Amino acid sequence: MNRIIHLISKILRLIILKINYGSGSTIPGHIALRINKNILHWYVKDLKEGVILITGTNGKTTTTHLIKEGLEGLGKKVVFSTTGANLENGIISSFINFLPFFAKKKYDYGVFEVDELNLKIITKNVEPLAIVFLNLSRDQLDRYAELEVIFNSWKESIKNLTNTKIYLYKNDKRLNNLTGKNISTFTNNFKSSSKLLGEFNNINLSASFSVLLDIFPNFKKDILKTLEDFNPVFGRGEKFIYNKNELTFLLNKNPASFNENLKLIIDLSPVYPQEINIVTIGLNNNIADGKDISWIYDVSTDLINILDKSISRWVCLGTRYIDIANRLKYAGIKEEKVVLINSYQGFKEYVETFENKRFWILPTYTSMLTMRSIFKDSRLGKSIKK
Amino acid sequence: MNKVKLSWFYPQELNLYGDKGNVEILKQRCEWRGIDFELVEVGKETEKDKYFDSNLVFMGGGPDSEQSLIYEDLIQNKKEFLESYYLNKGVGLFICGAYQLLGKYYELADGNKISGLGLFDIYTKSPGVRDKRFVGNVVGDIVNKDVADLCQKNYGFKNIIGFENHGGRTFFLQQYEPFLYLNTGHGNNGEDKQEGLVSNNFICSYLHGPILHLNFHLADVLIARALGININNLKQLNNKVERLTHKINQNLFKS
Repeated sequence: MNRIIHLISKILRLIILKINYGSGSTIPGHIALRINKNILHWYVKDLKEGVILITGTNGKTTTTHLIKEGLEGLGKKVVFSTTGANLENGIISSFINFLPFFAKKKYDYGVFEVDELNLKIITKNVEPLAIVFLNLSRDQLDRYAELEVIFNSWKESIKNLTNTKIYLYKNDKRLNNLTGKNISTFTNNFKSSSKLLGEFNNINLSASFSVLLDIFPNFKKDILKTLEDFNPVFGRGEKFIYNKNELTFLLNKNPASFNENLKLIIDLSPVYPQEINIVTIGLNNNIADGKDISWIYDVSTDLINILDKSISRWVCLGTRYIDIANRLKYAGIKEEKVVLINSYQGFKEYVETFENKRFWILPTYTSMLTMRSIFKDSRLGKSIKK
Repeated sequence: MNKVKLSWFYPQELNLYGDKGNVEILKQRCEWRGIDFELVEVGKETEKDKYFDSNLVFMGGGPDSEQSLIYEDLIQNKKEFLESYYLNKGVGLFICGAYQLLGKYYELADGNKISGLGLFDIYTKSPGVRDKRFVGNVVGDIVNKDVADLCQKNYGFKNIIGFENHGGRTFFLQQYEPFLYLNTGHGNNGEDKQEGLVSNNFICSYLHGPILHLNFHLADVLIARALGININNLKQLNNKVERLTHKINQNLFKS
């Protein structure tokens, strides 16, 4: 039965791609789930080893790719989501995509980032090899209601797991209240060099290192090499050169990542004269960003003011550009340093008026998608070293 | 007294959805005008002599678990102050969870009731698991005629915009003046188009945004009342960005 569902879904996926009806990253899985709500269990059983799941407010995408590349670096075959779809239907769609028409133990591992509130749904059907919990902070609360709802659902998710290894970030006080069997912790003590910017990426690297080393204790050197060589993914530290200006994208989706990004630029910007540094904040409030933008007031006023000393302008962009301008005003930033631009095309033209500037671009998720496509021809292949 | 002394109740526990922005905005709008501003963060341990002489009180909402942490302290140690402050026409802004706590009780999904401060003869009912939270943009007109007229005259508009995100449905057991009459959004209970409550100098509302970020005129109403002066006598500020914030979002929220 499940083989037939797989066949049908695979054909459906090809049709979706053929008629250009989306990327096929959620719908095939959605249909397969409709026919058999336990289909994921069957897919995971087709893996030689099992699945590793990564969840948390920030760092899911990067950590998922770090672990995936670590495994591939050791010659393992890995199923993962190429689009970042992180609900159950997206994970199933990845299997539909990767597995051949007649699935038969071709892949070793599945590595998936999982939406915070979807973890519970997945562990109901599947016992993963490992689950990584990165952190828990405020993110799109209009979608997720409250932090404790997430925390309770995580508790629920791991309650009935017997063999799954659980990895918790030790310095997150909320996570430390997760209890159960097979729990180990990791910190932010990754000491090797990395191409990833920012302290927060150390958490992702440390998590990935712990997981990989536990599975392959004899391959420490190879694991380290893959992690050191890892390039930033999709708007998370990517760099672009446009009209001789350097643009660095730092995804900015909640107060925690906003604060981390401010700290990162505070660390890096003094290397350059104040005049050169321009910070652009792209604030959209589409569904994927969260409709509510009040979280911009949870961002540290002190960090905004510290950063202000080493930059020449703040550019406000996105569907809620005026809100960012008002936030900066009440943080105490002088109005003459704040530039309002109400369209992304307008921003491109604005960048064109400069040369040799460093634009630090802090976009919400959909703002990042738009800006990546606007500057897509200027993307640098290799990312910078800190 | 040319001084605003703002007491912010339970900043540690009740600070959800950027509500601390309201405090930052009140502070800046006072200081830009040369009005002395003192902030007292009132926590569980704070003694009354630190805040008894406040002329502005702010309290926000929090997640249920945090709200339960302060609940006992609020009932046991802060009730007397808030009651007399209210009766003496002290000025206050109470958002979301704080609004609910001023009522008689909160009825949980299982029918159990948690009593509130009982300052107002109102109650809030949990929607249970069957009904949805009220989440989304809100646009409404200020009901109080004096305030509405003042805003219209001084700022050119009398509406309030915001973002609501609450499960509880609030009902009045006796007649009160609602804060807003809604054009967009759910408000108190999704039934009567009313949002919030105004009584004496207390303004209660479900609106985040933060509310004073989206409505600078409301910040001035609070400051003028705290100082006991007419809003006309507040020093004029450059409100260009604030006006745009209100205007652009008002159009976004309506559509």
